[in-house]
Amino acid sequence: MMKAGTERQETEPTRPLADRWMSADALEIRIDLPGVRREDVRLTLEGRELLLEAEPAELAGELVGERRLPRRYRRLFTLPESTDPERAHARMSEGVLRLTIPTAEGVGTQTIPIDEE
Amino acid sequence: MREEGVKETRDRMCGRGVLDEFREAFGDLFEQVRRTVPAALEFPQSELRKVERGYRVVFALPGVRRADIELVIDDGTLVLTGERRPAAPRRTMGRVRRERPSGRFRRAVRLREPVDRARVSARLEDGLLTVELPRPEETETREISIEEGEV
Repeated sequence: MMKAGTERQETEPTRPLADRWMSADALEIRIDLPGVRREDVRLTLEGRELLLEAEPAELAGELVGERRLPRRYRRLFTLPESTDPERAHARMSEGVLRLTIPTAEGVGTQTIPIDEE
Repeated sequence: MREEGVKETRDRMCGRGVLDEFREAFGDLFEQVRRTVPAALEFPQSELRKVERGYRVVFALPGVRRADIELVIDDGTLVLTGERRPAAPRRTMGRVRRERPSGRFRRAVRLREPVDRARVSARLEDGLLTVELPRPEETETREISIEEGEV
């Protein structure tokens, strides 16, 4: 029989998983934040450092077995020189945060796109 | 022959079950994920909760569409199968730095308590799939009064 889990607050926030790539005109970042709504996300920009903090809504009911879903997320992204963090925008849907950080004007004059295998 | 021997040793070391299904589904990505994030060995991560009406299983499925999920109850086991599509487009400038698992997945949850199959429901919201597993309603015991009949 499984024992009841503990509901204590985690001390260490979880580092969420992210995918990153460059599009023709921006740096694209996708971050997994299951259970997180738009209002639960906090993005703080300090120079080139983008801090992401998020807290999903509490789940109802008594936990049985292990707690596997993080209660707090935190991750710091260092944005490359070629991007303009001031023009960054974010969109939250389906538990995924979509960050778009446009390429700075006049940077990277021409790059040839390479297909990913 | 040689290949099989290697696989057998690996199976003994890692244990069979969900882990193997995961490995089959994700192939090389499995190795990659294990190296970078040990907590992501299982995709999707899930939690079991006891609620007033029965049990509730919550699966973390960020970025997975409803149409890409199948949920069945088979012989006392709740089976979730589906696919998560990669987020990055085919054409990018340079390589994609990937951490999030993609591809087909399968999770099976053995139901130890009786469940009212007819009332099982699920909803997908904010990247969480919540499956409600209500316990069967108590069969009402009703006393039937026996009237004394006239003969």
